[in-house]
Amino acid sequence: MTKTETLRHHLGWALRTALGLLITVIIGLEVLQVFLRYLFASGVVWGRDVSTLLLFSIAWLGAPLLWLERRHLAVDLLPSRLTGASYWLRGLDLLMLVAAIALFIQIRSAMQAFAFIDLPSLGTSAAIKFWPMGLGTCLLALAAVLNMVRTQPE
Amino acid sequence: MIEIGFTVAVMLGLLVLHIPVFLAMGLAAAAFAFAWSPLMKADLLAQTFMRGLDNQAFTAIVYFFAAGTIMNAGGMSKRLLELAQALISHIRGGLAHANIAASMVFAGVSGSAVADAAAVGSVMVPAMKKDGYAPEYSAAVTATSATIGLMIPPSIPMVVFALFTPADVTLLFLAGILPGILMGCFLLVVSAVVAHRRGYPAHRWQGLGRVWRALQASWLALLMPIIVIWGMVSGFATVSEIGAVAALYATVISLVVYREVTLPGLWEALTNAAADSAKILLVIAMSGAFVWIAARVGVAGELAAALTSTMLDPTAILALIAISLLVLGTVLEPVTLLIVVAPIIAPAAILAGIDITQLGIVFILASAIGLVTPPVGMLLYVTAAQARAPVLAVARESMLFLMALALLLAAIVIWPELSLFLGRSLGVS
Repeated sequence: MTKTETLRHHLGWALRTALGLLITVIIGLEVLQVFLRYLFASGVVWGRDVSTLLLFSIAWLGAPLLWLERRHLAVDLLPSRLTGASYWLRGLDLLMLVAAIALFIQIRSAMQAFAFIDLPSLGTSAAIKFWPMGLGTCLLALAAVLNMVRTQPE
Repeated sequence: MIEIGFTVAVMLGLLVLHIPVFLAMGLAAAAFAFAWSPLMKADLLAQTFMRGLDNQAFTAIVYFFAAGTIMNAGGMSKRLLELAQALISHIRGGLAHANIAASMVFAGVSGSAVADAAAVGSVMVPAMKKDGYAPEYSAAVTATSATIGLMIPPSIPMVVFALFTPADVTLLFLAGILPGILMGCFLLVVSAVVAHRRGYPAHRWQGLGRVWRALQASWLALLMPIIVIWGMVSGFATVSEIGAVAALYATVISLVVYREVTLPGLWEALTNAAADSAKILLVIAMSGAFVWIAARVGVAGELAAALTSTMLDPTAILALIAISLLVLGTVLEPVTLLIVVAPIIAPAAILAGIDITQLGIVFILASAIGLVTPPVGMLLYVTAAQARAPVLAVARESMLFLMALALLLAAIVIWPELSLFLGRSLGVS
């Protein structure tokens, strides 16, 4: 197995593990809130904000995994011998890489803007909401590069 | 209006080039920001993508995906198919009828048409082929009946519609029950006619004992849609909370009662559910930019003015919307269609006097039909692959079934009671 294939494998495994943990925690947290409400007439103050952050994380950590496996929602209007061709897929990877870099720059400026908004339940600034997007965008760029340099046929 | 037309045109152009939906939407929003920079500064894009998903209610999508995937992994499809076969496989064309009946029952468990087609088709298509049905017909029955998954609650597209419009998800779930059952009945009628004309076989009736045994094996799965509806109508929990409870219920049933899934199998089901949810959540995140653009240029107001100036009554306007959705549904899959079109159409439709719940059901049925219409009928491709039949042949065999569904769509447009009756009679408003 080449180094890039090993990296692909590890990245895919890490993302799958992260997604599995995230979905387990988000379901557990939601069920816990229902139980707390009916059994103890109370709840966790930070539950809603943490759920939203976990939701962001599932979306943005799922993105690089789906890109690695080429499983994103797409429209199949053109013949698959064209859209499945190596040069076409490499072109898509390049487009994703450029878009990810541009988005990452945007995220940094958005985080600066949100640094002045408080998220009281978590005792931090609302900039935390951009962390999953920032990490996911970096990993999307990495997934695009790994797909581009892939030597094995897809 | 030209601004949103430009953005949607760019998105459609990129979609044609097989660029993933989330990326096409993001790039189209960036193109808008570039072309109309005074309206939208480019540094707003990341904020709109975050805002698009910044609603805790979207977690319901993840939970219902998890519940459906775990139920599938836990051997639920096998049990529900056994029940459907026990009930109606003795009628001429019985396996085709059982396929449709299984999809109706399965719809109450999974919430996703593609998951239904994959689960039911993997068992029913080979069985039908073995029984002498043409492969393309087996695929067509599976594809068209899987669309019921979008209509019978819990339905992920209904959750998405409710989150993008002022519609209430409880009312939508209730409104979907009768049309969902009617979808099954309409498809069964077509299946019976085809079976009679082609002389498809009937299986021997194996007695009420078999039905009872199948019911005993599957009643816990059949309880799930009842729990979801009861939980929401009674006010026990919100849609996201009931989704999480459904996922927990599916885990307990699969792991403890049926014991057909191992812990590694459950883990795989959970990671698959998370990845499948991410596909939709990313599109929703990107739609934040579209919603922002639509609000900024006031497209809903312009559309409402245009609709009211036509002096058409609400039924005629709803019919026009349904036809437009059928056309758009041939190239856009349901979630994209709902996310891009619903927030624009819904405010104008409400102003025109259309009930938002009825509009939701029209949206869901029209987009469900789109799943089986070429060139981009996702279910056609899934079931054609299962049956190893040419996609066009499957599309041809689906025509009669699609005509039946289109007839039902027309009935729902003309008679609002078909979708509103259950909610009203239960006093839910």
